[in-house]
Amino acid sequence: MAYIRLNLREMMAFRLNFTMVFFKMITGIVQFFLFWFILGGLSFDSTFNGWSFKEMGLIIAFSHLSLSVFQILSLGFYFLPYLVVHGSLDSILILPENPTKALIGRVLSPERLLTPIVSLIAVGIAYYLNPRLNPLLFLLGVILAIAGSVLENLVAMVFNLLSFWIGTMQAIVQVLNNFGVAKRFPLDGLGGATGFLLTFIVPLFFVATFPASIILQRVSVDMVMWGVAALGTLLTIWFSLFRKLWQSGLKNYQSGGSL
Amino acid sequence: MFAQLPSSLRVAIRTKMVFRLNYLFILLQLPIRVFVTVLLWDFIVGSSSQFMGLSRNQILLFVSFTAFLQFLYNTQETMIKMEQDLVQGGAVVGFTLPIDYHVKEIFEGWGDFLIYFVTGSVTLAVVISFMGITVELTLAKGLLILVLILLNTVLQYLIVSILAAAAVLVGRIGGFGSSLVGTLMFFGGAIIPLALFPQGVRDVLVLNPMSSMVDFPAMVLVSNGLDVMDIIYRLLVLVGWLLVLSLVNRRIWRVSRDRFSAPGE
Repeated sequence: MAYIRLNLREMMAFRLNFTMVFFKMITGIVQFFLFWFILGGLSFDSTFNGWSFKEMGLIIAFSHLSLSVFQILSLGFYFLPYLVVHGSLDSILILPENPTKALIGRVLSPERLLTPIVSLIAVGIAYYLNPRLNPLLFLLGVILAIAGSVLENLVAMVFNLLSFWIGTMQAIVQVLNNFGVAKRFPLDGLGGATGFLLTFIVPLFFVATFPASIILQRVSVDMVMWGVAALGTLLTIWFSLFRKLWQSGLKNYQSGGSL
Repeated sequence: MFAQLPSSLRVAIRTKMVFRLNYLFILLQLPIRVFVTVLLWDFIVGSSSQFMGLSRNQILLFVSFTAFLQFLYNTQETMIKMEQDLVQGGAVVGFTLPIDYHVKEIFEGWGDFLIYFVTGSVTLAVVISFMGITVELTLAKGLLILVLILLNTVLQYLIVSILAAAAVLVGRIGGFGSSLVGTLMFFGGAIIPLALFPQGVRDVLVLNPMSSMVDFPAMVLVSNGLDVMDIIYRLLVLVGWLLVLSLVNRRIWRVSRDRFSAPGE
């Protein structure tokens, strides 16, 4: 809360900028919808490879949800390589609190917290567009979408942690981010190497396509069980890796002042 | 002015080679962006050979080339850097130099631009040939695209420069700049080719400066036969924006310089 209060005070010094950031968030999500609306010949009844515009609303909402998870969970780690390379991680480590919380907290501003609000609006719109959805399945889908987004962000966080050993890593994380466009459209038709890549290596399939498919009952129960198991396994693997690297990275770290 | 180009290039190459691995990954972003964009449009177009008046090959070539252009312009990062310099008072170095700060910045940026242009072009050529996308590139088309990229680099620079100078007047402006640039980019062909918009809307959108930066060069590349009148019209729009923004830039920098203060003053 202290971080949020501090960041709020800073933001209020630039009110116009803050308003525009919020405007950008709204236009960002509107553009997602507009994209498919224009390509559907300005119609809500268009279909793309078996997915209707209204069903695509779920994909759009869940892909935005992953942005919210990024803002809250992994944005602090996005700046980590810079702090490590410049030997200025001390500014975090000297704080009387857990370094993970401090790293996440220092960038946690009300501006960042607006993103989940926009995501929730998008999820609400997606629900409204598909009125015959089973509420329980919808809830399960939202939970799985959040879990998928956490997994996606954990992968990026692990790569950021490699900066303790390799140095500047932001370009590698940017490479991962460039895959990010793929979560904005259904990935269920992908097979072969591309399908494997976007399911297990850069696990974008679990961000939007998988939860949306469950909500829309496009997959069999077997597939749901298989998908949940795979998601759980991947989350466990990447979280263990994250913990291990974060702990040994902190031990390995040398600040500018300790040289 | 161009005498400083070789030294700028040398400095840029030396800087890149300090972080070779990082630079390699920066380059790798382009093929991945092209790959994912082509994947997306493959999904949209489906198995049909035509989509809303454009052939499958034209669409895939268009979106690959716009990915390259965006990689090249990299507008927002430059803007953030300039804004930070100005708001945090770092621009005092630029203001005290005998040449204008923004001219100095252009020199510094030239080396980076040339490296990204050459390596990016080669990477793009390899990726699109690997994906089976065909290109009909004539000498006239190539020269026109080259001229457009150069003019648009100036246009992009002017937009960044104006927004950065405005930061001196109104404080932090990154949110405003990125939302403006993002919206203009969306309606400038960066996400959807303008040819896929309804005719009436398209006629308005070609007046958007970002359509000169992205949609115009990409359409020149994918067009089977160039419509000379259309090219002249869009060139006039581009030159018009360059003139208007040059005047605004000159004016806003004068005002900003008068009001600028930095630590140490």
